[in-house]
Amino acid sequence: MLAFEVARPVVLGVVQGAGVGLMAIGLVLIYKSSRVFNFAAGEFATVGAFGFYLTKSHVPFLVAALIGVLAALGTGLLTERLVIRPLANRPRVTLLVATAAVAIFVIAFQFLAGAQGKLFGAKALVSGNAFRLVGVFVSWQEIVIVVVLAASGAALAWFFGRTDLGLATLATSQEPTAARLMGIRLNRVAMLTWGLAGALGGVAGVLLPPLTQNFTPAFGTTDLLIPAFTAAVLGGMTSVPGAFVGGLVLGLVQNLTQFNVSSNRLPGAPSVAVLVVLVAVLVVRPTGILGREA
Amino acid sequence: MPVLDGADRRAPAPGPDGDGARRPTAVPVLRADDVSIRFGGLQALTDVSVRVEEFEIVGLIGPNGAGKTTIFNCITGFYRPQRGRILFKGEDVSDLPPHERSALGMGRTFQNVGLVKTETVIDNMLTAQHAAVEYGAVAGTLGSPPTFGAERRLRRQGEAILELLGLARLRDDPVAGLPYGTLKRVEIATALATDPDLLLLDEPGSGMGPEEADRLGDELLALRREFDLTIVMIEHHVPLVVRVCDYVYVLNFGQLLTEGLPGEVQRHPEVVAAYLGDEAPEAEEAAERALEERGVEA
Amino acid sequence: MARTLERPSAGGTPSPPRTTVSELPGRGFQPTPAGWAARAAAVLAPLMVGVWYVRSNAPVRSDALATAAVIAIGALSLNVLVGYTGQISLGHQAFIGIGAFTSAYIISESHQPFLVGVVVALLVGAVQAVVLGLIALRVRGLYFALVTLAWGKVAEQCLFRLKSFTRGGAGAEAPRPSGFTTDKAYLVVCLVGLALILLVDWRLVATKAGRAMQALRESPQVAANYGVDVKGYTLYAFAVAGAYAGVAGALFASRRLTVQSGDFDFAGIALTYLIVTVVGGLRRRGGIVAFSLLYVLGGEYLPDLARAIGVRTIEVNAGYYIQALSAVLAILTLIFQPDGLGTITAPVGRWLRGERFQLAHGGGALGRGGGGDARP
Repeated sequence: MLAFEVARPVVLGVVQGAGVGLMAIGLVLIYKSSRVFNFAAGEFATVGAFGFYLTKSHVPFLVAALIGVLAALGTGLLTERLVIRPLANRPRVTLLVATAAVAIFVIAFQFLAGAQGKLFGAKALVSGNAFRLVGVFVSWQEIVIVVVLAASGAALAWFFGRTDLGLATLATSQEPTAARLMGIRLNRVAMLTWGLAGALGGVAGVLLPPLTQNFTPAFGTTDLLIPAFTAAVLGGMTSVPGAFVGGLVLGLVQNLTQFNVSSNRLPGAPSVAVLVVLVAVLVVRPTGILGREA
Repeated sequence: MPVLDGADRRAPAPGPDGDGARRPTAVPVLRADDVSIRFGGLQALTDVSVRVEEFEIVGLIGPNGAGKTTIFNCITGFYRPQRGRILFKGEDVSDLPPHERSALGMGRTFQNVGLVKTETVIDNMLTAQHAAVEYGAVAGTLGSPPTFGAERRLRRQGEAILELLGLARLRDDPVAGLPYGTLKRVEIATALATDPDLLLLDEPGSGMGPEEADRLGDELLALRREFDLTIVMIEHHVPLVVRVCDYVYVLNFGQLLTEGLPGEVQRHPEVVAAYLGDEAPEAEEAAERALEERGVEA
Repeated sequence: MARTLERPSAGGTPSPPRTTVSELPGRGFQPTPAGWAARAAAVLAPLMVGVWYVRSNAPVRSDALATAAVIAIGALSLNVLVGYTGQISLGHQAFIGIGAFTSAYIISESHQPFLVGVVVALLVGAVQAVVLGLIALRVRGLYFALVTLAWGKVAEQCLFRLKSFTRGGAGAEAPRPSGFTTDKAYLVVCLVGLALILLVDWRLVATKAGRAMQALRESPQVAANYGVDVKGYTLYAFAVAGAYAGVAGALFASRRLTVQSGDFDFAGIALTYLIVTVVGGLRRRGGIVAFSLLYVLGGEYLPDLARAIGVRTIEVNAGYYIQALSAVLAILTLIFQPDGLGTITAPVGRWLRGERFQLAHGGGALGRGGGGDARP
């Protein structure tokens, strides 16, 4: 039977991969505008999750989801304004360390928000199974999640591929001086990308926890950050659609190893698989497999 | 290293003594044979051959983008030419990485000043003596007793070179704050600290006025005597080149335009044309700079 | 082009105004006897306070100081990579954890003495770091940071859960050396370890390997031109950092007596140590040790302070508040004071060695002047 070894991990992989893909898009956008690897990205997702699940019982469902996304968006904007902008023109390692400091700051506050129980419950968004596929049930929830995530990804690909503002953002990343001369305000572009990246992380943070029924503080950093970076690297750190597809690939790789390698034989197999993919891509083809531009 | 022993130095081999002839020796200090290199679509050098005899000062001139710095990079190992080879003191060094060529006795300065900018002048002098250090890296790290004495000797040697160049008062200054002209001189000091037999200077006189360039000329001649040096220099100050060089190569568009004694080369019609006529396109120079920045891995 | 070829009169050494080294200012400064006495007092006073601190209120406090020593060694390890060499590691939980589990294994499974455990941990730590360094030669800058991040994760989730190596979830036992089983006695072991690492670090920077690292951080091209084997010394830096981390891990393990995979997580070890390194000051040994101490003592005394002012949440969750505060300090350090605590400790150090007291000296660290720029 392939249901457990293949079909189930593929379904889960696609759904989780879409979330990872959204975060990867956020990483790519920030890299394009600020030339920094944003190690706080995972915490954008966790902030989204906390915003959602702490308010869910008090306000309507969609309002809570919006609060989660807005909280993450705000975190992104604050990071840009308070940390990244004062450090512009500093070595990139400095910026990287600064984003890591943002992560640890946010993580500390999550623990404070719920230091007693480390595990937060995340009930299903909608219940029931939609249909059966090769012997496994696919739930409505999974359909909803993947549709929302994929629609967000597609909207972004369209935005950065077709619209003036999107193209302007790309222009700044390639030719900052020329872009400035053409009247593009770099600070605005940076705000746009950091805000967007925050919101994307927030969306992933709101939607992913129900899949596993719970989440822990810092799960964005411990569980999502590395796959998201690897996905972005698969897209050459420059391609928005490449990053999303990379996310799907990573989701599949992680879930297939998770389901097929016994943790008695090799504990933590998904993390090993991710490391292998990352190093292989970086050593063999640093420009990315799915990237359009170098 | 020869600075401290105070022994009498042999006079450098004289350049051409008015008869216009160059005296070839059996084993030249440097030979570049038919060096060709291309970067993507840009043919940076085509069959360039250069020969430098012991104790000579050889000038390398040509318009911007002619490939002067590129040939330096091939000689010192930062670039690997696709064709041709580099012989240093008779030995084929074409396959050696830059640090090994440096250790063999190639000292070099860079167009954009190659110093460790966050460190002090004396620390640069110490780092530059890397190949001459008597102890191993691990012995140094573990603090083996002989390393303390060795460090004191390195420091004295570095200070001696600084004194010789009149830079001693800058000893403890961070490199980052020094003016450009001074940096150029400090860089020569660090190049000397690598204990070179062959010194390759990339535009040592850039940013200097005529008088300063004049003084630089005197200094180079004196350094040649003091350190038994052979020197190759890229230089735009034609008067400086004419005054100190024993022999000159002219590059244009990655090819050797002509070579000869400074006086002859100076009057060569094509040289005049190359200098006064159309400069090489700036894009080419930009390309060369960009490639340079790629550093050791190139 | 009017000049004709003419050999200048030979031998005329140029004569710009000469200064000899012995005439340089600052060389002649000698502290007065009273000055030396002040310096001696400045060294002895904190030592006596430390001894009193340990003696007065027994186990918890000496254990806190031992923790500070372990963090200091781990942060010094990061300093070799981030500060001296300009490489970044976001996977230091792997570095520390491998040392810890190796030492535990050697002591409790192979029944070797504690010292053997430390030495093997040092060697294994160096080897794993060099393997990572080999990747750093191929994959540069920010991309390499990703590899270290993923490596740390693999260590956490895979390596440290291998039953044969770490006994899986049960935890590996790492007894202390006999005669040093009390917290006070074990503190001495940790302090000796820290002192040795500090000595090695001092000599590292004072000799050719350290200079080579600093040169290749600023410019691999200049370093190679100075005769430095850039690849070789990159690997050497990883070996040294791995060795320090191995020692830190071994001391960590026996301080805890039992180590589990959960002890080595990204936020708790890798990020915390990185922040201690940055706030202490990159390339500022004294600052790093000082901030390790402050970090631990902060966690130790914040609850008392919070109780005194009546803020319950801080009292209960002091550790998280310290973490958040340190993160803010790190960001402020990066923006305003790249030398971190080293801004204060470095001049004090020079003063103690008998120089005049003066604040500014030399260029900045990570933040200014292009130090450690990595381009992907």
